[in-house]
Amino acid sequence: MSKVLAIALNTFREAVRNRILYVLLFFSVLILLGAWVASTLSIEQPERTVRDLGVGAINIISGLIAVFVGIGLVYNDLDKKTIYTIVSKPISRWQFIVGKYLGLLLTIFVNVMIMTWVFCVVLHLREAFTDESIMQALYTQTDSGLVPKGSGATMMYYVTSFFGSIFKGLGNVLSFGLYSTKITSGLLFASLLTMLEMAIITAFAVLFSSFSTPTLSAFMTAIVWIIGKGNQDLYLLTLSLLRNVGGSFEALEPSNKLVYYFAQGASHIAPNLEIFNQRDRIAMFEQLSLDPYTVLYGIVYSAGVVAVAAMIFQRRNFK
Amino acid sequence: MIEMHGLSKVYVQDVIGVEHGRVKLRLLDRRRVALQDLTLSVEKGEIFGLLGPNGAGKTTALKILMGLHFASSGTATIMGKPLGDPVVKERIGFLPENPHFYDYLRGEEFLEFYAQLYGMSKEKRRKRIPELLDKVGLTGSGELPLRGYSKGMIQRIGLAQALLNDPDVVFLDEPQSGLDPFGRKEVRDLILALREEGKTVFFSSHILGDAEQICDRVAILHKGRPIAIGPLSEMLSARIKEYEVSFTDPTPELLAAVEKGATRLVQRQNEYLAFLSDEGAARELARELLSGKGSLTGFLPRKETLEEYFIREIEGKRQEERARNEGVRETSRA
Repeated sequence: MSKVLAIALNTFREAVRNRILYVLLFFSVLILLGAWVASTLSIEQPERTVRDLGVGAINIISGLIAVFVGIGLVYNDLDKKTIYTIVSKPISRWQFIVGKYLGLLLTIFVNVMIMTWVFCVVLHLREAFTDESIMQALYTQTDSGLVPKGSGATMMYYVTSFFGSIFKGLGNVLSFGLYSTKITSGLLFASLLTMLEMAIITAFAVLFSSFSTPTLSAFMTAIVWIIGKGNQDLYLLTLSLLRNVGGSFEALEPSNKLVYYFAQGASHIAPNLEIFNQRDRIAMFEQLSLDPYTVLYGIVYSAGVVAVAAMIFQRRNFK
Repeated sequence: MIEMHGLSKVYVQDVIGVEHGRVKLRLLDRRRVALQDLTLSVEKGEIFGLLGPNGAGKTTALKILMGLHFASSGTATIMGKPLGDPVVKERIGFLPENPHFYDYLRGEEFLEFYAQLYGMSKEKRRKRIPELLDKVGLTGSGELPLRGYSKGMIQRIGLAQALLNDPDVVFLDEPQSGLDPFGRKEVRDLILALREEGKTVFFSSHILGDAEQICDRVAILHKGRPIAIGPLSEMLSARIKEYEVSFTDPTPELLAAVEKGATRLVQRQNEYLAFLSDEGAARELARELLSGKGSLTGFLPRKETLEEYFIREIEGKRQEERARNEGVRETSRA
């Protein structure tokens, strides 16, 4: 296990020293701030808009990290032949694959947590800078009306709000959501679900990367991700196709038969990633509880894909 | 220590591949024999050289031994155990050809990571890493990232990772390739030092001069087939091949006589170098030079070098192949 851990930590170090990660993180900060701006344009339920956009952004950026960082990790070892000296050490090939996978998962986990923290900070700041909060903090209600507290108080309010939001956000993340206010409720839960989704996507990235080029791996991983996201829709499509012709498969037109086969096949083979999407309910501040079957599905599915990757890796010649 | 019996490797090439910068479609004859029927054994404590021109199958043989490729047929064992056995992996070290390592790591971090793959304790790592950096001449460079290392330094840190576990058998693939004369000498000295420590060294090389200086036994591969295996002393004929006599200021008569009698006469600035196959003639020339007909600067009896042996053997094989091909063509024409 210590050898797997050594590979995992080295993979994490490799990813952390990869520039693409910082580019993606930078974009995530921009998007999360953008979610704040977008929410100001929403006439009704701005809180819902900002939470919906933020959770969605974290999910998409995590997926991009899984695809773009994940695909290169195993391939680079093969291409640059660093694998030669590793495989000749007392370590099995499966340990190498599992180590790589766990290292990548750790990278994504840390990034999801950073993005969640940034998002919590954005939400706290947003709350601190609503008209109502500013009025309360910077004006005193007197008999003659509202009286400003002075420029010192204004400056103080902005500084304490800024640092307060940073620390509150940190508290939200480090307590894994145990400490949360109304505006940040359910966000850590959403991030946990994103992690489960990423566990599957990362497994596919490692699988494809273990036998094909980065471009092809990126393409195939992205396809799995997209199909996985629309898995339930594909299944519904097969039902609606049949419903349109009175439930008889024979009555389907040849082209629709093809679509039916594709949708059936894809929905059965590809992972169902929609079960990890609770964005709407989180945006609406609904109380959520973790479904153990969802967690089990994520773990078993990703373990299965990593096992396939290890089996392929076990028998291949390194060029 | 190392045994190979009929080791062969046949690659099946991709249908679409790139060859010499051009995309090539291969539908038929996709098989490429990289190694054919290699049988040899390496004894404990010896330095064994696997020699051959580029594409001879040296690296393929090493890759099979290291578990990077799987043999198409044949068997091999290291220390009496099958390839890939964890016990064997604990006791061997390997440096691939033109190695590439994680260049975002610092030298010490790199060795630290590899030591963890051996399951080495923190205490042991702390002791072993500075020791090794010192051994390969990288003291003080452990703090630098590998991306800042020169080719020679990469080769040395590569040697350090191959020696981390104080192995019994060390496999080195072209360890001197791309190094300057100083680097090559250092690697040569290091290999000799490993033998002094009782380790077995199995290495591949096409730098024959270096191999000749350090190998106890060699195997010569050509197009995947072994064409000669044995101790260098037996392989290279013990007899003197020719005599090199160098001299300056010869009298015109002596020079004319040498031109006639020598197999070759080379002039380098004011010095002449005569190659004579007959010992008596060489001694006679030296005597005349010493008697005042010129001044003798050198007298060197020369044995056949490994390079000459190598070229003779490979050329022989090539000629055989040419003759065989022509024979086939003649038969088909008839």
